Amino acid sequence: MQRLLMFCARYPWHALGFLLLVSLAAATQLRHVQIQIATDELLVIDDPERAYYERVSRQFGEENIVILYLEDEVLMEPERLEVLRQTLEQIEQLDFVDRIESLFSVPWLKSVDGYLNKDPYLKQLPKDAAEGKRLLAQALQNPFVRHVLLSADGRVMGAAIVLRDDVNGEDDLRVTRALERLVAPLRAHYQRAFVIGYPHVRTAIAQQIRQEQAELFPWAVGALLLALFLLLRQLVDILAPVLTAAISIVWTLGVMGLSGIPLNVVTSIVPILLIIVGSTEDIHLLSEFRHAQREGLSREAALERMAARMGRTVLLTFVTTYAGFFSVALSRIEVLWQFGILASTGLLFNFVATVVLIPALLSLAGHWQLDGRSRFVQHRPGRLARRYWELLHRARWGILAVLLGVSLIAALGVPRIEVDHSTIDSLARDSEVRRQVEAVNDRLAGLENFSIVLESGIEDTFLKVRYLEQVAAIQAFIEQQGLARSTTSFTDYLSMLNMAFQELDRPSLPGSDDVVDELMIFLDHRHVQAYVSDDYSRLRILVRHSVDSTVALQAFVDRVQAYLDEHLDAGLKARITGSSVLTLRATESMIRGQLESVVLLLLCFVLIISVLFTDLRVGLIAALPNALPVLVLFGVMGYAGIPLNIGTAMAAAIAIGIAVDDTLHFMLRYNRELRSSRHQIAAMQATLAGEGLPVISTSVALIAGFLVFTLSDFQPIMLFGALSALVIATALLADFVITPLAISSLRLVNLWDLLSAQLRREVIPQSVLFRGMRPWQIRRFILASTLGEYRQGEVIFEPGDESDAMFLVMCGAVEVAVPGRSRESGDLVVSRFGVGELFGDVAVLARKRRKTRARALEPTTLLLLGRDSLYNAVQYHPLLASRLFYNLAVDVSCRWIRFIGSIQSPADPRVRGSGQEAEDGHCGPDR
Amino acid sequence: MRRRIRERASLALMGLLPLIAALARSAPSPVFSAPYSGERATEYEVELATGPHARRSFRIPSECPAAHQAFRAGAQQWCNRVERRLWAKVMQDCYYTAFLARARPGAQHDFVSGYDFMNARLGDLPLRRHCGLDKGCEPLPPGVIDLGQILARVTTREEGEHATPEACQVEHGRFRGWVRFDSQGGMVCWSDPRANGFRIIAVDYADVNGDGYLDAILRLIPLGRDYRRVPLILPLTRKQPDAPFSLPDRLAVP
Repeated sequence: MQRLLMFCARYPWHALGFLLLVSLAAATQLRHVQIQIATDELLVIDDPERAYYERVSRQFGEENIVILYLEDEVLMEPERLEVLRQTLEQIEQLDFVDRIESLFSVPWLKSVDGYLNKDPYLKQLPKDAAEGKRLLAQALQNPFVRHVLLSADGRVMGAAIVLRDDVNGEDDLRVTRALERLVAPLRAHYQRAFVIGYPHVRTAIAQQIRQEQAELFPWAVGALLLALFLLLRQLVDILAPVLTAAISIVWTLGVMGLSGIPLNVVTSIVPILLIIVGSTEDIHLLSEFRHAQREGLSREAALERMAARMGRTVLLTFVTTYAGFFSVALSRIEVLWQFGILASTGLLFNFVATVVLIPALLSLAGHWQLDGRSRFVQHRPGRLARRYWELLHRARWGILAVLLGVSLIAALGVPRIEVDHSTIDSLARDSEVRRQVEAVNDRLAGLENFSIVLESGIEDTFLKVRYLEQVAAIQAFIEQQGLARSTTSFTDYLSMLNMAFQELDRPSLPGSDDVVDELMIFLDHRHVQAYVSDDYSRLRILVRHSVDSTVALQAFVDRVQAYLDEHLDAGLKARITGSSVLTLRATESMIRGQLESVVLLLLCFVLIISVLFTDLRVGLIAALPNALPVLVLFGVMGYAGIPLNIGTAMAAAIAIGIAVDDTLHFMLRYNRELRSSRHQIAAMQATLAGEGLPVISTSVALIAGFLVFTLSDFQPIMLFGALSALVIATALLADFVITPLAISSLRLVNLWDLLSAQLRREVIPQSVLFRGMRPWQIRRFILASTLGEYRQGEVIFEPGDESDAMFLVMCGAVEVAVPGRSRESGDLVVSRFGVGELFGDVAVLARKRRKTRARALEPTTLLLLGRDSLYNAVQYHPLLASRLFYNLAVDVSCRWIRFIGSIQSPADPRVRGSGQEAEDGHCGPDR
Repeated sequence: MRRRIRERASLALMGLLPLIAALARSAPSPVFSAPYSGERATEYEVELATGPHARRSFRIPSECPAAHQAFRAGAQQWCNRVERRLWAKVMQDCYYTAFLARARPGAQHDFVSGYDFMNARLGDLPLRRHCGLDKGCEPLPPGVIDLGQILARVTTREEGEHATPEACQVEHGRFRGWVRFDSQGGMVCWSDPRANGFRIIAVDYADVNGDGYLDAILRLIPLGRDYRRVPLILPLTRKQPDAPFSLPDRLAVP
């Protein structure tokens, strides 16, 4: 990364040329970008339930319907009806209309002189109001009309305009405009007249997306510019993030045009999101560059420092943010998959644009200054950071108590969250289309439906009264629940037929199988194919409802399922399916997926930090500043009654993906400062001083950007923006409060850090013990050890001591002797050990008490390698252990040679020649 | 005995079908309930299975002989439950057509066609009020329904404050209500849309027993929850004007 940044800095025109060329190529695809709202984009991909629903739809038919809604005090006035008839005739002529179901076409099953008459209700227009009233009363007896084509009070009439099968989303605008044109004259005759259906809803959403793109885009750019101006006050620094965002947007739109992924309710936020999120890495790079410049470094030197210090950091933070966005793509919901792919790809483009453009731009124009300083810079960040840290440390218990209280309160609010996704929320509150949908839901049976499919696998099952009565009982149960105004099935048609033939005053199910058989002679299966299979072994109950809340709908479906489980005949199997059920499953899937993403992201983050500091505790503590915002987010949602839906669940995953960046910047800087100063408090203050401005800048820019989404008319998007801003704000607070306090409580200055760079570089690789080992293996072993400091003449161990560790001389010298064996002093010196040499290992390996005495000949530092560490190495790292023991064996052998040499030359107790031989390579392990 | 007579009559009709089909052109053409639609029709077309993988369309009644031949060949065994019932209807309609076609043309006496059966008084119809399993009435000719049996349940019902003799009347082809006989042989009725009853769906005129007196053949369907919608045949005749109607003698109805 460092090399790439420097390459772009050295060859700025090449870098800019590359960006320009790719942008031009992407721009050629912009005209292919489509705005498309598909009905099944919110469903789970490859869902077996969806496959079953499609099979059911193929068998019973799935109608693409638009409702003509007419409301008036008196519907059955001849003049109005005549105008309506003419309008319906005109609509039926439209090439995309298959047929119209209305009181002009729905058969009125009745007996005329003992023969069945299926003339529609309005074949003859009523001559007066009284006749019209009687007709309405008759029509309301028909379950296929009641609440479907006629409201219970007789003041709303509907006509179902069934569109041809080949009509799809691309025809939405044409369908909407043509129907609007024909229906417009009806408004002069009825109090309220409109057409509403999925084409209208989709058209309205598409228009709203276009409008919002036009409105929100400038707001997002404005918010970003304002935040950058207030915080950075540098012309280049303000323009560069906007430029990288613009480049990445063009590239992303190019990918959309090329791949055919359309702009929809969710993917439409990607461009604005890139403006908001894409600025963060730019700010960090620019901030580092300016910091170096302020320290007096030249432009080239500042660029080098930026590349050296921020290269790895921006890469890691990009990875975490990318993971946050890409986690959304793991969803099995098509629209979320599209969003995840686009947003993560956009982010990748933004990263590329950033690492190419920023060094190139700074190389060319890094010396340009708007006013040459920032307000924040004026206050000497070092002093500010020190004061802040002192204040924070002084009030740490109070602050922690407050945070703990906030967390507790938030945690108590979490169980209050309801998982609820409302499809109508995709429409603006004041939208005309939304009001129309609500009118249909309120006055008629609603636009939503689900089916209960009963099957026996045996021909003619549903020609038996026993099973038909079961169907009727299920329908009665559903109607008792009060959530569905209309349930229709084959039994209703049969009851209507029976009523007609038996000349009854209300529909009634036949009393015997014989009667059913006789009625079947007069039934054309085409009239009931939407409800029963042609072999009468499979039957569908169609439940129309207006339940918009997934919570209420799930409870409703659960109650129906429980009823079926308890009461259904053992010979029948029942399955609930339909668009509503698929929406329920999709909602559940998307919310579960997003929550899993949050957990996965936090785990990923913990892993990165743990590896960085080689300490899991640091990873866990670093996760705290990011876990708190999630807790606060869910707490706020619980108390405010904000449901967990597509927008709000996405907020948690995405916002956390972004929020961890600041913590990562913070921790990486802290790590770097710690390595240079090896003092925690000093490192903390330096981190606060160095990261304060960029972290605050990016967070403020993100908050401002996310708040732009609150201007959206789409409620899920609006909530997404508000909650994301809340998460970023809370994460910012947590980064500056929890992170410093939490880190200061840990002993992050580990043994590795305490060893001077010179020692690490010169002593350890030269030590016979570590020969042939990789750096990380050495580091792992050393981290499992302890350091011991000894004064000159201090005894390290005595004869008879337990042998639980061997010693590596890091600096100084040690003499090992057998007490009372020398003629002169009473001690026989066995050997002397210098830097890099190992002693005390024989007793450890032999599990014997010490036979010798070791004493420091000068101030000495020793690395103590415990027996437990050796055994752990044997057990868990056999390769590492084999190398270690080979080195030990060689070392012991060399010492034996030296010892024998000393016996051969008693004048010199230390056979230097032999020792030197070993160091020269004559005695020692292979390197 | 009744069963034997019915079987013989059926066999006789079957044997005569080809001849009857030829005569049918000049015979009164009855109306039927068309399959699937249930509408009133003098002719209808129906497609039925005639073999394991064979289906054929029949126009009824003009193609009754072909239908009959297929039926006798066992076509109905290849049908499902509903189609078997449809075969039964087709054959029933064909037999009825044959029954009318067998009638001798040009009856010398007509005391029936002037009567408005669609608004008939119940008292004019042969209800056979005292007949039952233990009453020892003469058995009805094969295929002829016992109207009294359709209304049998109502004869036991005693309540009804608004019962009047005038209510014992068919109205626009339908009677639906309760009937009570008094000890003097009188009859009072009251209307009730939920009670059992009957609907006259067609009245055909022909001298079906060849006695020179024109007969009225009523086809009616019983109304009530458990009644099948199968047209029942009630031939009526009278040999004097204003006399009550009776069943024609020497009659075999399909």
